[in-house]
Amino acid sequence: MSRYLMLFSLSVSMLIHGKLKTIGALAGILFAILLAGQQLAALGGATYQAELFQAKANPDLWILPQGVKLLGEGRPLPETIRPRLLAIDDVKSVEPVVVGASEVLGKNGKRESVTVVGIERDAEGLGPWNLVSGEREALHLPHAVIVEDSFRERTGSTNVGSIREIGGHEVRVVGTTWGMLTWLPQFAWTNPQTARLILGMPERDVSFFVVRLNNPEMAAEVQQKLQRMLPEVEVLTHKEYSARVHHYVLVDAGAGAILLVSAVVGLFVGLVIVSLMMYTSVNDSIREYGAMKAIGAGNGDLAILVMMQGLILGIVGSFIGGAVISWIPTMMRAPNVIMLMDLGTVVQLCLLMIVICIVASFASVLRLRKLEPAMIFR
Amino acid sequence: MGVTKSFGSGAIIAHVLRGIDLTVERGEFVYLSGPSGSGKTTLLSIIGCVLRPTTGEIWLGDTELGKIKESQLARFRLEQIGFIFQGHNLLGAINAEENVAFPLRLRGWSTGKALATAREMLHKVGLGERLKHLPEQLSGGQRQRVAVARALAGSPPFVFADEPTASLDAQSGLKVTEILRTLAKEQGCTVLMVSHDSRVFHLADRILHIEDGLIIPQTEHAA
Repeated sequence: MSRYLMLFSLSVSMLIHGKLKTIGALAGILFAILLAGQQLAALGGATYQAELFQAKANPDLWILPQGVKLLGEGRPLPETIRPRLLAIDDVKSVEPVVVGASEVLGKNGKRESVTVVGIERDAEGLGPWNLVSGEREALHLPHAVIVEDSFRERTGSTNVGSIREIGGHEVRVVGTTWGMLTWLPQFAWTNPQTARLILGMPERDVSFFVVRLNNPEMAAEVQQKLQRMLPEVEVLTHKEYSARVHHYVLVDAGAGAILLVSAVVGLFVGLVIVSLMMYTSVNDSIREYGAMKAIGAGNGDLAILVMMQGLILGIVGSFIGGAVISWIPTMMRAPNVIMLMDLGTVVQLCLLMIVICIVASFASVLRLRKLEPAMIFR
Repeated sequence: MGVTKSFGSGAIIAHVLRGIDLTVERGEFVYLSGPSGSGKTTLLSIIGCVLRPTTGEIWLGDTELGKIKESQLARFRLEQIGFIFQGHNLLGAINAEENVAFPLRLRGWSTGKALATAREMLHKVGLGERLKHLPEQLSGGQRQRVAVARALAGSPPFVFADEPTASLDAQSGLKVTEILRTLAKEQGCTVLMVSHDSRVFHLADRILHIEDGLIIPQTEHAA
């Protein structure tokens, strides 16, 4: 034990003594964690955005056109199936939602994409969320819309009472949301009738239904029942649909791959920097290591000594880096930039970096294994 | 007995040691001198178990070095041999006390015992006031005295020194050698010291001369 304590204490002393290289290695670790952390935070933000509507609505079941990934896709469903759904035992409510892509006439005549979302007056828990001005009730006036205020710079005035043009139709702003940003273009909330008018959808067509049950634990059972009754649609539990959207963002849309590759590149850069710094440090002190070997330190002792230095660098660098990346979401907070980094991800990233730092010491360990103790006499 | 060492092969082979027969008595303080390239450092490396001979048998006490496995050599050096190098080769990141305690703690001594022994040794070499100094804060002579303390701290039966006074002025060189001799005699330790510093020859029990890889006995001192 005394031997390991001594090697640990010697590792610390060597790192302090070679402070410039230690600072260089710590900077490399910090850089790697920041780069990887930023990418993972962006990935977290993208995932959050993609699932925002689903997470906020949080129904027990989704009734969707076949194969839908993002809301508003697929052939519309007839509203006539709603009474059939409501007739099923355990079904508490069935809310139709009309969703589609359109454009708002912005400043200087420039058109900006919007996602029109039509919801019924008494739809339970179906937005608009993050309402910062106006009243939800007003949404059910003809041609009323609630828009996202953070896009004001691009779409022009969003003041309550202002008139905007969406899909070639004049609408009146009756409220605004803030920070309701999803994978889709900004939301423009309205009633189903106005939504159909803007989107050119036939009367009584809807994009999907959200279903709430009296007993949410019965979701799987009711899902099977509804699926048998309506084979032409897709009935998904909330968990299944969230997983599908998650997979779409991370895999199908390629965002996950791009961000993950960037994160891995960041960590690899960290590995190379730490490895080079440690190798240079060992080379600069090679006669000291030779002396240790001649005196009687074994290859194992020197390996522990160098790996402990990697471990210490990893722990200190990850601690600093972890603290910094925890602030990333706050530092980069803007309504149209969502960075999310939960504590679990921070901890995992830091642990990974510590492992990388230990791996980074392997080149130095190999160098020392080949070191002949007789070199000290030359 | 009959120790040879060659480097290289074929046409560019160099026979550095060409049949060394040497016996050093227990507790003896022996100098090994000779011109550059005569093979004295190679011989010291072989006796110090950091280099294997090409042929020949070497006994340190009751142990024949050729029978020690490669993996056990480090442990053997740690427990049986104290080294003093030409450059002091102290660990620059730790202070004098920790440098002296280093081999003891590698042996598994407790921190307290190792540091107490290190302090005692540093007092003996006249560095009781420099325990917490880093090597870079010490003079060349002081560093070499720390190296002497490190070599002798674990009371090894053998100490091998490679020109420890080479980079020191006459006074420091003499002082370091006197300290080494005094402490080694106190501990009954056998010392083989490579040196061609004639200023300290009078401290040796015996001086061996090596030339072209062969030992030529020269002088004996009644110290």
